[in-house]
Amino acid sequence: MRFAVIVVYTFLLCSTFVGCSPVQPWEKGNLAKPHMAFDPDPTESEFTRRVYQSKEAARGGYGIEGGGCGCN
Amino acid sequence: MRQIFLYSSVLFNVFVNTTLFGFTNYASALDVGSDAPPFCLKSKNGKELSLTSYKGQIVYVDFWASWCIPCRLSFPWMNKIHQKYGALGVKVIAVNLDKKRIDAEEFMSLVPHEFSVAYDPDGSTPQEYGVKAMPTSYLIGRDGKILSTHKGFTDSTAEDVEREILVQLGATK
Repeated sequence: MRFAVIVVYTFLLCSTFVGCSPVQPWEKGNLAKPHMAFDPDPTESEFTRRVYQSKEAARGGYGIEGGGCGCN
Repeated sequence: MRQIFLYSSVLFNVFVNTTLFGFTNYASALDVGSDAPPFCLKSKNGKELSLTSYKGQIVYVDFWASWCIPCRLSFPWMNKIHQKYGALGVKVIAVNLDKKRIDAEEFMSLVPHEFSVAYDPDGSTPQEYGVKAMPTSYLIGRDGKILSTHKGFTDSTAEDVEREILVQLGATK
């Protein structure tokens, strides 16, 4: 019984790998679309970040920023 | 109990190996000096474009797609190569790999080009050539052997290819 359960479980686990296949470089057309980018509009997101920082007094948290001069 | 785990791990390994590595064709990039795989593709004007018919010429095969920025940048340069060296026996073939032909046509209507364009939406030719980046180009010598491969397109690629073409023209004149 236990053997059967393990075998079935292994089969199920293995079957998930059937969906794996490497994507070829020429198949990445959809990934190249502008709306697939992490940051589709850098200007817009920079603006949002600035507003967020001043409204929430939450400077930083987006990486290393500023030189410590107190200017935003 | 231990045996059961042994059996299941062996089974697991067999599965992973066959599904991940067995069925997928890991074509390695073609080495310099090996024969360029022949292809026969539909060209822009609807005719068949075959690599073998250009034997005896220096052929520059470029795999490109309209969504790939460096590919787009290489178009004016390829046109320049075609205009400069076409009469001397240098053939430029740009193999388009767009899934939708209309995407390629849209781009090509904006950029003037006189060289040959072939369509391979299934991607069987880049598979044979072992294309690992977009764009990838191959310079094929008069004997049908690969002289050089270039991944990506930058100013230095353009300079290198032109130099290689000049060497070939000089050597065989």
